[in-house]
Order: sequence, then structure tokens, then C-alpha cells
Amino acid sequence: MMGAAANSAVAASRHMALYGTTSEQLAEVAVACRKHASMNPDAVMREPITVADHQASRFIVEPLRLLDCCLISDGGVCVIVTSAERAKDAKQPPVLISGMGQAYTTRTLEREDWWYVPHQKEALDRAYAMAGMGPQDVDVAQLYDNFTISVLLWLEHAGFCKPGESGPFVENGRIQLGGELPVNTAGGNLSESYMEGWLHIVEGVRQLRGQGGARQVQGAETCLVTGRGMTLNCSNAMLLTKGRSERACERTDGQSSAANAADERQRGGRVSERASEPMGRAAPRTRPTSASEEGG
Amino acid sequence: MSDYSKPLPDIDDETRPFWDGALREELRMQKCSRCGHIRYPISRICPDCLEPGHEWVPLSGRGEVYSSIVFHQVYDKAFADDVPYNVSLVQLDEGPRMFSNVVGVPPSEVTVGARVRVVFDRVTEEVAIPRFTPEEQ
Repeated sequence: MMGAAANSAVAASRHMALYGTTSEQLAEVAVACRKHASMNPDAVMREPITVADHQASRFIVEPLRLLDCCLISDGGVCVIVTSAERAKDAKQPPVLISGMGQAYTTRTLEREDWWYVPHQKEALDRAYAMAGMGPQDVDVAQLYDNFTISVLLWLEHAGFCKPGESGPFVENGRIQLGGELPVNTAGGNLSESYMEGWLHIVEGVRQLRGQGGARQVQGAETCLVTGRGMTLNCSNAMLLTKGRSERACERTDGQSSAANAADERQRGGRVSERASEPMGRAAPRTRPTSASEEGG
Repeated sequence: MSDYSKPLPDIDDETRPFWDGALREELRMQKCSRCGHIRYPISRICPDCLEPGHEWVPLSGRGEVYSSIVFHQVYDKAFADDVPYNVSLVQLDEGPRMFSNVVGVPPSEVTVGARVRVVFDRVTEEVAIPRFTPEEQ
């Protein structure tokens, strides 16, 4: 029919009708992203906004307003992926890809829950399973935010709250820095820049390297990054974990490189090169968690 | 010639039964000859069982609003004079869902769950567009 805003507006309308989600709750996502962008010198939109500002912004496709929509940006992003072995010796502290998952559907209107993008949960479940982690292990999240409603759906699919409960979940600053689950700490597509979600990976890496500056989540060890494309049909999720560099180890605990490598194996740490290897080679953590248990 | 200036469907052999039905004020969709699934959007094979064989069957034209949005932004200048206008996803009683407009009520006052029935908007000699309007109580 009808364009990206309209597709997400259909999802928002349905979510509101089923669960009582409000436009003010969508605003909480926009406000959090803008707050984080205000701490990001590279962000495009840095002027803080309030829920009232969101409510005063014009409708684009009702129920979505201007401040529910991401930016349109030109730019470039580079992510360098190498093996865990090589990453240990690199200048920057390594960040490991501990789990990843993808899922898609070819069906749209034929599927009754099409609007809810249920394949996102499959992608997340795969990422959690590969990492041997669950939502309770995530310290910070970078969730693909083409529109505010998308963040609500990710929060439900990722098991941070139950289906239908993401509206209340984002209230009271829970997804802001200092809250229980900081989301889109650089400002996201909504306020930093719309690089098709690639900046979400960059911000995840920065957070786990401790290079977040004013917006650093203290002690962040695990970051969830999600993405979506092809209108609503294709989704992916990645669990990034803090790695340890050779240099850092020598400085702090004098571990040998072999010990360090063994430690990484035990933790299930994987640098992205592993992503092309069979999933069966991943060594999950022993923590008995899964997204399907949490996600409902 | 019509002075209707908005986009019109490219009617071909695959879609003609749908539009011929609409001209006769009948909402028709494809019913799979193997599994009986009624499908929409129009497609060559059944999305449930992959069978190509089908027949076009008339539907009641009744259903309920599944999701409802209002366009304020003008994406196509042909619709510049129409904004704000309603677009709704309608859950038809026979199973399929279709996007259309709910007309006859202010665009923001269409509620999810409201009962609607099809009406046909004859925009040219060849084309009648199925839209929906609230069902009489």
C-alpha cells in the first residue's frame, strides 16, 4: 500500500487496541533516545524533548507523530570483524559476538499476527541460545528504531517484558540511562542518525569498550543489538560481550595469551568470524536461560 | 474518459475476476481447490498448501476493523486533497484480511473491532473500488 510509516502505524494501532498502549508511552521511547543523543556529540538531533513536545508534534500517519519517526540521513558506517585471536592483539579492546540469530517471513497479510513481526522473537531466541544467555543477562540494548513502536515490540520479543506490557515498561525512565535497561544509548535511528541500524552495532561496541563518555553504562558487559529490514519481513539479533585484550590482561592480571584464549572459549565468547561457522561449534554458557522461557 | 486522477489497478487475467466482481458489487476472493483456504492478496498459489487450482467465490463483504490508521502526510500528490483519510485493515468474516478505507465516518473515529460492510466506489467505467463503512446496528 503505503510506506514505512503506515506499516508501523498499523502495528501501533493494533497494539494500542489490544493492550491499551498509549501515544504517551510511544513518546517515552522518543524522549529516551533524544536524551541519549543530547550526550552524543556525533548525534544529529541533540535538543532534548519532552512527552509534551512529542504530543504537540504533527501526525504523519496517525497514531504516529513526527517524533515517532526516525531521521533520514546520509552517511557511512564501518564495522571491522576479525577472529578472537587477532582481536586480542588489536589496539582497541575486543568486543565479542557471543550469539546471533536471523529470521524472516515471506507472508504478510496472510498471517494474522503479521503486524507483530513474530519472526523477531525467533531471531532473538536463536541469538540467546547461541550465547547461552537470556534477557536478564543484557546490560544495555540497541534496538532497531525506525519508529517508536518498533522498540516496544523488540522489548516484548526479547523477553524484557511480556507481550502487551511494553507500554508501561518504558515509563518512568526505565529505558533511559540510569534506568533498569538503557536502550539506544547513542540516540538511535530516532535521534542519532539513520544508518539503517549499523550505528546500533557501533554503539554496542563503544559501550562494551567503556568508551561511551557521558552516556557510558557503567559496568556494561553484554549488549543486545537488533535490526530489521525488507519492510517488516526480515530481522536479526546479536549479543555482544565485552572481550579482554592481550594488553589489558598483561597489565591487569598477567594472564598468558593461551590462558586468555581458553578463558574466552569457556565464556562462549566469539568474535564475528565465528558467525560463519556452524552454530554447533558455539560453546554456550551454562546458565540455564532461554528467551522462550522468558518471552511468553 | 473519466476525470478520476488517482492510481488505478493494472487489471490482468490474474486479477480480472476480482475487479469484475467489484463492478457487480460483489467482493470475491480465491478459494483453494485443494484445501479450501480463502486467500488474499491475490496470488497464483495457495499460501497454505501451494496448490495453484482455485475458484473465485463471493464473500459476505462483512468483517471488523483489525487496525486503523489515518494518513496526514501526502505521499502521492493525487491524494493531496484527501488528507486526512482513513486506511484500515479489515478482518473479513471468511478469514482473509484486506487493506481498504473506512468511509462514512470521520477518519479518526474508526475504532478497532468495529463491524463494517463493503461498499463499492465506482471511480471509472471499468473500476469499482471496494471500501468499507460501519455496519448498521
